[in-house]
Amino acid sequence: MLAAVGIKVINFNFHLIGVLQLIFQTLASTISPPFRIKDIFKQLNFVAVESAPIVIFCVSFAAVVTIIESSFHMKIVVQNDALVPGFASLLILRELGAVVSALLITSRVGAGLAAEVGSMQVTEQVDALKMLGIDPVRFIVVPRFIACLLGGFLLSILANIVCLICAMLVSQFSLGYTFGSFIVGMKSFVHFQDLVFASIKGASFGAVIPIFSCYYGFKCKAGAEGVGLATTNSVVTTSVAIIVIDFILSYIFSFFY
Amino acid sequence: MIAPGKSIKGWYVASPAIELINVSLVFNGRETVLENINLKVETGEKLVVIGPSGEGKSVLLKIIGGILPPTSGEVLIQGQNINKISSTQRDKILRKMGMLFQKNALFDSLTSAENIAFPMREVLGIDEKEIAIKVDQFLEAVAIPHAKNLYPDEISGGMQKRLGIARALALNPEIILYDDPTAGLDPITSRMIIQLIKDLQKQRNSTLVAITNDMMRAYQMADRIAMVVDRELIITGNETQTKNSKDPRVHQFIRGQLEGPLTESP
Repeated sequence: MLAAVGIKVINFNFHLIGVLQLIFQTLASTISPPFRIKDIFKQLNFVAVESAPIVIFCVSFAAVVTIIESSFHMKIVVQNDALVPGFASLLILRELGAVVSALLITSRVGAGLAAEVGSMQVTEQVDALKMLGIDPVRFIVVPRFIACLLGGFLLSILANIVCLICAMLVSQFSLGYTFGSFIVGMKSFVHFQDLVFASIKGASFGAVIPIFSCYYGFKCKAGAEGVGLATTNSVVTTSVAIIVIDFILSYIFSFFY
Repeated sequence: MIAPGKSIKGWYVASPAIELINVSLVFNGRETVLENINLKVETGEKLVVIGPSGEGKSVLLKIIGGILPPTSGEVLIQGQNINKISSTQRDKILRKMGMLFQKNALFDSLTSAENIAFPMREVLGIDEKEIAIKVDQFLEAVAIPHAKNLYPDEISGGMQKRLGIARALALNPEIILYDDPTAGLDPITSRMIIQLIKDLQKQRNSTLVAITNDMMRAYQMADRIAMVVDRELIITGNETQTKNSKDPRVHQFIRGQLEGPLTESP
């Protein structure tokens, strides 16, 4: 029992050191030339443009649920739902838009990335790059890191806008609040810094995705099982990391109010 | 005695193309794969490494290729220790080497032509017209010009090997490493690939280190044969010397005998 716990602790430390090394290498390579602009745009298209429909679709439903549930609970607690526009807008901007879009990017982009890098590792393509004197971190990780960082930032803004529009529509047709009254309610709670913090969260969540995906991809063991395990580990770890980072950032941002 | 790589009174003593000095590799701090390996491969020489599966032949090749750093010992390529020089110098030396990987390691998102062009584009930075001409030349040299616009998964295993060879040669390397170049190929295709490797080596006078378990192909390719077994490297010599080796492990392996030290339980 004690030995098993010891092995888990050693493995955790081993992964932690590996991830920190990858973060350091990635940041160092990100700020030094050559910059692979074409690759970055190609990845940005995959991360942001191709993920946009699924993000829009899912956050729309999340916004609808938020409004309906907020109204339902407020009616129980304070016997009216007049605060729903402001409360729901704040929740959408501070949490929902960034977190939901980040988790969707994780399942779509992160899983794909881990499988892609894992397959490259297993089929010795990563070794082939090293043999050519090409740094795999610079070649594989950096363009995806920049694309996911920018993609996370852009998609969190998009998700927030879509969420708010859906919230307004549901408020009008289901709760009877006009667009004007929704915006008035929203303005009394929401500040510009909420949008800035939401974007910082989106970018931070986006940056985490390629780090864990590529890390597990590079550590991938041979065979279909190895690639599957790398994908699972990357999605689980990234999702946990997003929740933890969300807590840390929310705590830090609370000092700014 | 004059140290290799040093010049004295106008005479230059060439360093061996590859030299391993007391190289050991331990995985995860406990699993010794190779122990105190010493090896010299002279320029233009053809060395074939044989040995049972899982004994560390591919690992040895990856250490020579700078992909895996040894736990201890020195890896000298043309006299320079690739693990103790700056990354820029290391990259320059690595570019003097080409490698055909066991699974070919072709970039599956690129066509055959793009696979060959990739090292030239990334490393040499030459203009696209020149790259296009060279790509056609390489495809001709390995006899797959018709596969130019096909992706690796659209061509046969033998053609993938040829493509892998073409990519390994794309930077005009002085040292070429082949990891089991005939694995999974039929005897006729295997023979054609070996002939191709020999012809290209002769044209370029490159140094060749190859891994194979096919003794017939090993004899066809090698000036010298070495065997990796029990974490050590045994230099068995040329074809005749290898066949007459007194080492029971070599004797058993090259004859494919079921009984002997390689199949005895520890």
